[in-house]
Amino acid sequence: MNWTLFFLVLSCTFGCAVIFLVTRLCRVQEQLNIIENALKDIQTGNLNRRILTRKNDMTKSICYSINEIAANDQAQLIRLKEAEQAYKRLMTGLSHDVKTPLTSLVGYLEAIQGKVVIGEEKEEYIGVALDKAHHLKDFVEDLFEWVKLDAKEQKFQFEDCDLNELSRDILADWIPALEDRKIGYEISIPETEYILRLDRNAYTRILNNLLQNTLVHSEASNVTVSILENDKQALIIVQDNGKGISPKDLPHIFERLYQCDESRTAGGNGLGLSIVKELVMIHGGKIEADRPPEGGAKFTIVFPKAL
Amino acid sequence: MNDAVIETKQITKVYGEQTAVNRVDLHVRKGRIYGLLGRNGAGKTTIMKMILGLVSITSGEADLFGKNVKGNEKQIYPRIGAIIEMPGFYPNLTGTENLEIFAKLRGTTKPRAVQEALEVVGLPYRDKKTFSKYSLGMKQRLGIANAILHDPELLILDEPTNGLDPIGIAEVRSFIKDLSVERGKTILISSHILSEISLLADDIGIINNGVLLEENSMAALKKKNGKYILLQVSDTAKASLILERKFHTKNYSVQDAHTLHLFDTFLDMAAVNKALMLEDISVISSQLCNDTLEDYFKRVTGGEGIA
Repeated sequence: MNWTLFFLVLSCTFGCAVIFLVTRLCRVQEQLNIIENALKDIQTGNLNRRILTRKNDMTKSICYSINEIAANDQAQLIRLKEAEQAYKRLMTGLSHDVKTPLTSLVGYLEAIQGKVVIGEEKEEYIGVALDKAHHLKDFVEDLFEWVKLDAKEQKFQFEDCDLNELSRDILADWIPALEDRKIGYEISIPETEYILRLDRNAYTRILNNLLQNTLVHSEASNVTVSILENDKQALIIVQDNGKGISPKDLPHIFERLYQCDESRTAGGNGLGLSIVKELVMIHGGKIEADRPPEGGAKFTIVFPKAL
Repeated sequence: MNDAVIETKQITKVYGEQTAVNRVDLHVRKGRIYGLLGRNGAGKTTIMKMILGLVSITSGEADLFGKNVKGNEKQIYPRIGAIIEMPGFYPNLTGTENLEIFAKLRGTTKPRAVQEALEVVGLPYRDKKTFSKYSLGMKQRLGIANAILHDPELLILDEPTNGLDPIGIAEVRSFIKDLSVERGKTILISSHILSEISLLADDIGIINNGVLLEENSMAALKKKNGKYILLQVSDTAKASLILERKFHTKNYSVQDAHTLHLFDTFLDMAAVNKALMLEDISVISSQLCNDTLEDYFKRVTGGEGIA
């Protein structure tokens, strides 16, 4: 009698265990099917595919890993696509930035050659044509430089030089241009020597581009260049009192080919600041743009002392 | 063209005597935001409900991820996240608890799914506030968090900004944009607000009285609706010279050898034409394009317009 009961309980427990295991197995089987389908889908390029899994699934950690891999690949792919799109924008931008001035240059030259204009007017036409040619030349040079930087092909010669002296030399060349445009300037650079490892050409380019940017875009009447130094780092600050950079544009101004003015008539080409940023980064430094409370725009470069 | 995530073929919904949706062919492409624009009662929600299988399809077919929905529900629906009207949440539980229930039901793709979904929409994790005490905006956000909880490939959002304040609308808009740009999600979104859609969508479908009147990419629509004078002339070089010398404008762009876009639309077109003719430039066509998107929609919807 007791034995019968015992066997009954035993077989019941056994039965339950079997049912439990079979359902677990079925769930795993089902989950494996789902994983297989999803993997096929991911393999054919759908990196958005995710596998859903429940808390008690035996395959949970595998699913999480697959999802993570797909998500990371997806993020990488999106970054690549963005770079590709930037190149596309570069190309469409080129069609405006090159084609329009080139066409109008041809127009001026044809008028001169066809003797439509004579005397003083002819001289004026030649002047305008030359300006346009220069502008195009600058653009092509900028573009070329940027492409070289982007492809990491440019070679740099780093040498120990006195940041203060070098900066003074560069700024000295800007004084006539600033006076020409009746822009006031304040320059505060320490008299002492401050040795940094720099590429002279690249540093010159950085300052030139920042000042050029101020001249062309800021509508400022005053510009301040100051250098602050301690034993860890040097700060180079270029600040103006112009119209400033709108909050909408601020996060983008170092992006290649970003132009605040959508009609692209301001005369810039959207390359200057992105070249600056690349060059600063090559020196191990950082650059930031700001809207200081007193108005205008402020660019701050930080170079670490020990490079 | 097999990157369509949603493709409907002549889907129709008839309620009794009334045809709510009439032979709609919708094409939502992978990784893009598709804006379904229409007035209240135009049939937007019904289309979405049919795609999601929430109402039966009277005739026609809906394909999701290249597969017919019928018979593949179990594989397809886990890959979609949706909010249609007000989602059903338990009023006496907190937002986190509500989402945890959905996570358990549906499964998740990563360990911290609930927390991350809440972060995306800007709601606090493990907050003590119950759903019944949520403001309309918070409820709407929780709905979106629920839709993205399982990291789906496709999001179907029916008027997600309904009842939000202007700042909330801008926030929701920006994270919907991020989901598309940074995570490559495909999004179908409906709205009756034109400005809303025009800021967000890559593609747009205009629906009126259950009929899809137009389906096009936003870029194409914007191109059609720019504000400029389109000039087709025999010689763009000469034409650009005249524009610069006689009309003192540099605000133009050369499209190709015979086409110019002139952005100063206030210029007297007759005078421009005359000046060009006098210089022996034949003007093939000149037309003022200054349709706004709003005008365009009014025309498409037969004068009724969309608010």
